[in-house]
Amino acid sequence: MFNSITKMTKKKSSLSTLANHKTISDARRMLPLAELKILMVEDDPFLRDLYQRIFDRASIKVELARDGEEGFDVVKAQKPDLMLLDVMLPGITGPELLSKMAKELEYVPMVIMLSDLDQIGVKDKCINLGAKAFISKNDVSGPELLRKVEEILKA
Amino acid sequence: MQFIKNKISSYIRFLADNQQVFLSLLLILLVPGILVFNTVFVVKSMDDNMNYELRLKAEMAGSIVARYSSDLLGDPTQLQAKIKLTVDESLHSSTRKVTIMVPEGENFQVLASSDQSEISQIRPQLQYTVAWHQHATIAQLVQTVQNHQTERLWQVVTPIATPTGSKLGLVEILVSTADMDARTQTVLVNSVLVLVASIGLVLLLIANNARLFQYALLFHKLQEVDKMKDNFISIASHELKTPVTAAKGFLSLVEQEKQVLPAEIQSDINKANMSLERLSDLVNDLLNVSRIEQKRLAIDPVPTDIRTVVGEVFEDLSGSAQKKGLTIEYHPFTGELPPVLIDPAKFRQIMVNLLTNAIKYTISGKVEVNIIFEDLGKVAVSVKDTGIGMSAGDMEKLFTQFYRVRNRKARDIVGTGLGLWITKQLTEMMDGKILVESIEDVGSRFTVVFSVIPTKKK
Ligand SMILES: Nc1ncnc2c1ncn2[C@@H]1O[C@H](COP(=O)(O)OP(=O)(O)OP(=O)(O)O)[C@@H](O)[C@H]1O
Ligand SMILES: [Mg+2]
Repeated sequence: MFNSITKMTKKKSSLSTLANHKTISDARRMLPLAELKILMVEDDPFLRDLYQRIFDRASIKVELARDGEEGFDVVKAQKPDLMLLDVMLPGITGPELLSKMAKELEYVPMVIMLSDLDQIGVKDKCINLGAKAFISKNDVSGPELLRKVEEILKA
Repeated sequence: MQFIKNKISSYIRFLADNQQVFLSLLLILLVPGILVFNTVFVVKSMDDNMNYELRLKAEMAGSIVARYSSDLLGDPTQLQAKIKLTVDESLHSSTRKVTIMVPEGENFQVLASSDQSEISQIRPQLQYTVAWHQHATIAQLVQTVQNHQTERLWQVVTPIATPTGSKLGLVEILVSTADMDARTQTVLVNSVLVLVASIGLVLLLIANNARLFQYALLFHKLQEVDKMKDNFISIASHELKTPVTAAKGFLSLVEQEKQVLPAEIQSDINKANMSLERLSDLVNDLLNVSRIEQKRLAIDPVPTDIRTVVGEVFEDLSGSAQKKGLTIEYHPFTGELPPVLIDPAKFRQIMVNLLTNAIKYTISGKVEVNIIFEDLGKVAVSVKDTGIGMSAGDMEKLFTQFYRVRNRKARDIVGTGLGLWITKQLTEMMDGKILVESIEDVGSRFTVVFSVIPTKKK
């Protein structure tokens, strides 16, 4: 019975949103950022360092992953509440990771995409694949990032 | 072997990629080919026709001789005389021989002949037997060799019969094709001359137009280079963005440090920040240009109250105008303003570009932002300044990439000359219009006009 349901949802379309999966509960969403488990996937070492510092300064713990594969493993093992995901990654890209998680995992965190892209289709594609929102990296390069994330999370 | 294979496949790929060249090569081969084919075909069919004509004539002569011979078979001397006369006077000069034969056992014996030496000879040829037994005229081409010269001849054999139909003998006529062959030869030579001349002409024309191929190839290459340039700009500006973002981020970490920094360090940090901002703007502009040119810029139109966006931009930038000692004013339309279907972020970019320009290119005086709505379905936002202005000539080129006015007043003002190009593209992508009025040393006014979403009233 359960099997047939998962099969059906899989068949529906590749655009199947994460609505069919377990994700962060509404109650947890309202908690302060410091009490959430956050994962950040970013390939550039300087940006990774920067984000680490921003989170550290606000005393928020953050798990860092260097690429899509690593991000996938962390999601699978630690089930974070929130994932900040770069669009352009070496190996599997951000959108590819979104659909991989939707296909292979039962639990998928809330995903906010980080991007400096403004390309036709990319944003829609990610939203269709289940991402919650987009943040432009160069609009929010400093500590404003945290405010923006919080805003999206509580919306 | 492998090398040759590679070479050939690379040529094939080249041709597949350059269809114009492929077509032209095909034409080069095809046109002379058709000419050659046509010549060969015409000469051949002319030869066939003449041959057929000659054969008909020989057969006609055969039947005439056969007719009068039937009465004279009993008088060989008179027959001989008549034959001689016929050949000498009535028949064409290409008639080589006329022979009258009567059956002699299995074979035939010559009774009379234009060649007197052959009289009484016994002839065993198969055609004679066939013509005799089938009671029909038989014609065939034969070859003779005389003094090392081959000659083609029509040999026509016609039975001689009484009016009641009983067979008496045979007439054989030999007609040479030499005359006709000579004429065919002349035609052939002429045709080949014409053929060579026309192929030469075609090749000459093609050689003369070889430049066309070069242009075609050049055009192809140019397209590739253009694409490469686009890709390069796109990749380079992407790669540039990440370190700029990181640098800006780290600097903003320093700025938010709790402790107060010495004024000098703070001012250095501010300058570093401003430089980064410039770099970031430049990279963004380049990226915008390449996206617009590659038609990959996403526009997300939503119903927007443009006053909100204009107000925000005004707030953001009025500080820098005041710092310069300029008066800056905002006069929004105060009545009910229907929304406009635009991408707010892109519209914001338009306003930032226009307002920064107005502040940048005004040394003293006033910058004024107006929103005008006169209920004709259009709303206009204008940015007016009392700045350095520009000449009519500059105004024409204003919206081209990298165009900057070059005069003493504009000299120390930094910029790339991309802002207005991007502004115009963005405006037009959202179905708007951009207008400029300017007088040198007096000031400028830039206006963007958009259609409002029609309200359902009445
Ligand atoms: N309000 C204005 N008054 C006088 N000249 C202007 C004004 N706006 C633009 N110009 C002229 O038009 C040129 C092109 O403007 P544009 O905004 O495209 O480029 P820029 O300001 O030089 O560089 P950037 O790409 O950084 O904006 C400017 O160099 C300036 O000479
Ligand atoms: Mg400008």
